[in-house]
Amino acid sequence: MRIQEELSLEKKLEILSDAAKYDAACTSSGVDRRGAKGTMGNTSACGICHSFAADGRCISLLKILMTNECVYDCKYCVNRRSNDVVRTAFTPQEICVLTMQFYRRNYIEGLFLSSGVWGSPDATMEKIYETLYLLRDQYRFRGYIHVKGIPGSDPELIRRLGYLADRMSVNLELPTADSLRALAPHKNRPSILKPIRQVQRGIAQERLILSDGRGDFHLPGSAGENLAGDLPDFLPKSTLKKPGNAPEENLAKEGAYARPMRIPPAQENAFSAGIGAAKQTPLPSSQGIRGDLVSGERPRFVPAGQSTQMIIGATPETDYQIVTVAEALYHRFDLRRVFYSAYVGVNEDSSLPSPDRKPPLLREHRLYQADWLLRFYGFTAGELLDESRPNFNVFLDPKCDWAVRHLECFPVEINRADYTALLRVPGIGVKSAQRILKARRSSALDFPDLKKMGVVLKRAHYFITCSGRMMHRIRLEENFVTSCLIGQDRKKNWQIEHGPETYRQMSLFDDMKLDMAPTVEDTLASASGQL
Amino acid sequence: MDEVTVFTCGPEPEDIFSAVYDAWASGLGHDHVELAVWTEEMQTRLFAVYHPVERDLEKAEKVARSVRRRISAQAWNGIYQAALSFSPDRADAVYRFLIRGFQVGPDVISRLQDPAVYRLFELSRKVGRESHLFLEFVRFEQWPDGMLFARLAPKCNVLPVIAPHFAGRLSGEDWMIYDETRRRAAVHPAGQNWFLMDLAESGWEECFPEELDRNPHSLRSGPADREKWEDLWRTFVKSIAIESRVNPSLQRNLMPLWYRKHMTEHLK
Repeated sequence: MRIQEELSLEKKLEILSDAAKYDAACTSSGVDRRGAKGTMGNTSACGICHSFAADGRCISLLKILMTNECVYDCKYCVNRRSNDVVRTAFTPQEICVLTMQFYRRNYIEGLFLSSGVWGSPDATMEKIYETLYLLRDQYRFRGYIHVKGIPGSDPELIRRLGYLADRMSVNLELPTADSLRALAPHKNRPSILKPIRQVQRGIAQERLILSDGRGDFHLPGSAGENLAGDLPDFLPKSTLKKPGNAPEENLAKEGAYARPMRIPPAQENAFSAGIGAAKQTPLPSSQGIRGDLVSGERPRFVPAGQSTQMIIGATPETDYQIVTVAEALYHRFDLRRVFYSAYVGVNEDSSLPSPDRKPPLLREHRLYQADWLLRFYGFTAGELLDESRPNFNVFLDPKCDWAVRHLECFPVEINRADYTALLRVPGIGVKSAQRILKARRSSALDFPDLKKMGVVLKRAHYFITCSGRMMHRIRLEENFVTSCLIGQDRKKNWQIEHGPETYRQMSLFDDMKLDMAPTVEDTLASASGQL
Repeated sequence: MDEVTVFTCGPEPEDIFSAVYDAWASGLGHDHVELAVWTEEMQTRLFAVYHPVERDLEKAEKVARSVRRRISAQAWNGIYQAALSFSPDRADAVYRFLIRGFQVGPDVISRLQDPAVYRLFELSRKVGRESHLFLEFVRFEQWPDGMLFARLAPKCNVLPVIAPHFAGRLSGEDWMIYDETRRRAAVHPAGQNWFLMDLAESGWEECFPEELDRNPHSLRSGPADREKWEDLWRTFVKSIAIESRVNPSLQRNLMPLWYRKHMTEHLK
């Protein structure tokens, strides 16, 4: 037996967090849940980081593996079967105690539980389920849980897990099916997309239930289409393609939500409360399911949405292929986030880049910038790149790059342009565009005012006018503007690639929550407590 | 030269709102009044009359009520938060904002081009940011009686903003967050409401002079169990970083050094 049970908790933590660190996601955002008497924890939709590791990445969750034992042999993975590393595993109790003790000291926002494949996908997922159930029911933990879905496991296990976790993620691993075949011989695209599709349906179904009887909630018009599309290079197309239009029909056909679960006899006791209730109804009733729920509160399915991650730079895909896949994941699979992980060479392998090569950090940075443009700025992948220009400009961020190639759209008049036009201006973000719209109602804005709204004038001034006037008299000409913008960013770009650097990996937190004020209710509560 | 009357007040939001009330009610005209939080270092001016204002909760409550009613809850949130900043001009900034607010109504909050509105926005944003970082960086340690204790050295007066968060999160725990800059604490007995306690006046500090004043590390030498979780946390923070991405300046941007003073992972 290779698994070492006898290690101390500290040694296990060291091994199983070290083995988990290559997963990029560590966000705790997406769901607001108030604390409740008799439980511990709450969640905040804006997400809360608790520390920053030496690599500058946020530490929000206790990110660990259940075990680093794995039956798979993915070439890029530090935990692959053929690697000779110390293997160990946490017990569910150990994970619960660690989470609770860290949480109450405010070290973490919750748990991010992943695992190597231990025996089989089902066996692994059952172990994870047992852990989360214990944490919610016995330890009454109401904080954030992010859990990995393991491709190839029973849909019923995924379904149950979805009612315990806030976010679920299944890793796409590599941007194309070809790369996946080359580097991960035990995985395939359809088996990865299947649980992603299932979680998407579960979330959509819950929205439909929520909208019942209220009449004020509608699925976006594209929902039917959403549930049918594939990823650009998804093979073979016939196995997963759903022709239906109405989401309800699809869900009914899918049937995954009503199927009872196979319960291994040994696990029966540990699960009994959850299983008894779920056998009878497609959705767990609010009683006896999760100890952390307040009476009358209905368990929700993956309330913070799902995410995925792709390894960047281990395989020959272009940026264009990668953003096209990301766009499809957002549009057709309703993903909340796609993470990009610059490949860190951990294994010596002829089909991989040399372990000595530095991780492609600038490329990862550009992909995150493009990802933001897709999600919040109304850009499409085809606008940013195409077959003839398949990779991002090393010298210019994707938004500036788009702008200098589309000078016919500029200059934009700050006091008249609509929101979409403002968002396309380099140096104007979501927050500043919204501020401009509100502020200009009372009086016309000038350049110094824009600075107050958070506009980065050194980039924006080439592309805007205030009451018909530009800030400086300049030629709006592609080569001129490009060379000015590149001059500004040269140092920063060099630093990102070579470090030590001062760039920040973009996150929802940096770019969307500039004010980061606690909620109005909180401040009001504290104020009225005092006054 | 027109004479100016300076209404001086204490450092807390209640003091500031009491002064706002008095200055407004004085009828001297907005151009002839100024507000200032009284400090030891304050330079008094020759051509100004100084008028100290006592804290009056009734007056402060009246200000709060009319701001919420005649401007907006958002504006109230903004002035309350700005009043928690450490800027010497915060009282006057609140007053100048309110002049504009009562003229304009709810829309005032979006007029960032107006200097009075922008100043308030800046102060409130600063307090909001610092408070958010302390939601992240507060570190509790467990005392022998089971109470969770955290100490901070914030610049802004963050306790009233962060305490409700922890009251919701750790409702079943006894906890206390001590602001060593202002020598006061937010205290939360398990299952009850939290409250602020001034420890400079209570004599409470003298009971634990070792722990609170001289040696921040002395608290950390205690039962092995207490240290166990702190050591495990330090282990985790170390092992979760990727060596080939190490980037101290990025880490410093996101977690400035002065915030680290009492963080478990940066002690020892």
